[in-house]
Formats: sequence, structure tokens, C-alpha cells
Amino acid sequence: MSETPRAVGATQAQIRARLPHRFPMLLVDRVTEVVPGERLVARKAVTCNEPWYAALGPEHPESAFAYPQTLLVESWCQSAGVLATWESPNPDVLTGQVMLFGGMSGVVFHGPVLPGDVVEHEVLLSRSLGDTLIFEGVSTVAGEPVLTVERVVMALRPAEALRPADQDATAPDSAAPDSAAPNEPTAPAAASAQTGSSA
Amino acid sequence: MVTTDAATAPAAGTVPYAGPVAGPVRVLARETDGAGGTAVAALTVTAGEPVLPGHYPGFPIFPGVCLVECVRLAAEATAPAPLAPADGGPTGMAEIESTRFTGPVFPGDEVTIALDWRRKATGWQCRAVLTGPRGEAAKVRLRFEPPGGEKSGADGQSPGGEKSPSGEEGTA
Repeated sequence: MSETPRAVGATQAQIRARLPHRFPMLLVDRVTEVVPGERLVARKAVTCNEPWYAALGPEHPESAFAYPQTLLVESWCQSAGVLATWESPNPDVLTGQVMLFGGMSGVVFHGPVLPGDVVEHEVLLSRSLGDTLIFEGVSTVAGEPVLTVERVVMALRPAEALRPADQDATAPDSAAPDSAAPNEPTAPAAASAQTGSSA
Repeated sequence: MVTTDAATAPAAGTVPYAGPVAGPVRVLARETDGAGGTAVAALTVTAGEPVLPGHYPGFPIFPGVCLVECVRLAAEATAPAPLAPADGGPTGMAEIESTRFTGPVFPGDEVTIALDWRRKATGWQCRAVLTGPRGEAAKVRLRFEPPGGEKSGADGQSPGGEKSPSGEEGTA
């Protein structure tokens, strides 16, 4: 199960050189296998020290401790992002080629993931249409599927091309982000026309 | 039957919310019958959302999966019938049937969520359109199951439901 991460995968430092995500939203711990352009296997260890669990106590039902489903999907998608940018990683959200999360379909949950579980994400690149990439795969805990992904669409775009000219409409109370490109999987796509068709 | 309330999704129920969205997701309107319903919810994305420091440092963008989470919270608060699980814990999605992200959401944005519930043979389907200050941000379609996890929704279904106009199949 544990191959030599350094040779065929990515360590945490190498992951941080590839993804712009950081605490508490960096949800890939280790990449254990990569076949560039084809497939990747990554791990995410779930711990009760993640901030999502802060408000829970012994009086709460077991189901309350299930790892948030949307974060399980995020973790899988970040793994896909590592595969997508394997050949040309760019941990910067503002320059270069950035990866947008265009959409997904057929993402089925099969059971809860609990603190102490190690999730193994398997990501397959099912189709590559120019700079639009389509992934599929599964996540397992101890060999049992907890998530199956029929289709995730990501689009690789130049950061500059992704800034709609709508600075006037940006939020007043933040640092006025000018609608620039999100990088890597999780962020919403910046422009509808650019997202892949996601059934 | 028509109900309108202003419940706050994460605050509803006795279990503290354990998830990535601080919210709250506010339910503004809700109208249901046994076969489905519609609802409107809203969220102001504050700079204090816990995910933003890491998504991304120096350039906060509200993550797409957090938009899905907001739909889940709004769905849990507006469902026309009880959803799994039944033990008082958070309601789990059975499936994200589809999602399209069409525009970014930034701190300060007010996001409106329009929900449309339908009973299907596979459970309860919730379609949502999320709109922010710059237009549509996402379309999300989720599937939930009734308590007990039986996927056969149509009959033997829990309370709250009368007869389902079954036979309707996935429109676009």
C-alpha cells in the first residue's frame, strides 16, 4: 500500500508547491502514486482536530462526527488538481495557468467518514479536451468505497483571461478581489462560458 | 399548505453545525406540499468564513464546494419531508447529481439560493440556483434519501408526503 512516495508520488512539501490551498482548506496529505496524464492516488487523514469538529461534544450523535461531505469532495478534487497540473504546477492563484472547477455530476456518497479514517482518493483522467479535463474516480476507507465520482470537469485557463471586467461590482468590505481566477479545483469558475459542459 | 418562516439553517436542531460554512444560511420563504415545494434562502459571505484564510491566502474566494454546502444547509432546513439520517445528526446527501459553477463568490457577497424540491423514485431531489451580485454563481442538484436509507422513495415514504406524482424523470 505504501509505495515510495518520493519516487512516484508527492510529499506534503511537494503538494504545497503544487496547490495554492492552505489551512484549513488544504485537504490532501500525501500523493502515493502518479501516472502523469492518467491517474493518481492520494491520501487524506481525517482528524478530530480539524476545525469543523470544534463545537461537538460527547452528547452528540455519532453521525454528527461524519466528515463534511462537501469537504470530502473538495479533497478528491484537490487530488485531481494535483494530477491536472502535474507537468506544470502553479501554486499561484493570480498568474500563469490556473485550474477552474467547472462542475461535477454523479457524485455519490456511500457512507460516513469519521475521525481516524484515512481516505484514499483514486483519480482517473477520463478525457482531455484541450484545456478542459474530465476526471472520474473513487474514494475508499480501508478498501470500502465512501465516494464515487462519475465526472468532474476542470478547465485550465490563463489567469489574466479569467478576470471579468466587473471591478465595480466587487465586495465593499474585502480587499476588492477583482474577480480573478481561482486556481486549482475548488474555486468556482470565473466565467460561465469557460466551464466545460457538465451535463 | 404554505409556510413561511425565517429559520436559520445551522441553528436549527440540537446538534451544533459541523461543517465548513459559518453562515448562517437564512431561510426566507418556504412553500411545500407532499410532492415537493420551493424555498428561498440567503447567505452573506462574511470575511470571517473559516475557509477563506486557506482559500486562498491573500486572495479569498468562497469555494465552490461551500456553495454546495450552503445548498445542503438550505435543503435540510426546507425539506418537504424528513431526510436521512433520523438520529438528530446532520442530514446527509446521497448524491450531488450535478453542479455547474458559473461565477465566483467573494467575501461580502450576498448569495440568494432558490430551491425546488421534487419527489423522485430515487428519493428527494433538490435543485438550486445560486445568484450573487454579479449574476448566477452556480446551479446545484442534490439527492437526499428518507430516514432509513431506502432508496425507493415513491411509496412507503415517511410522513409529510402524500402521494407522489411519480413517473417524472430527470428533466434537464
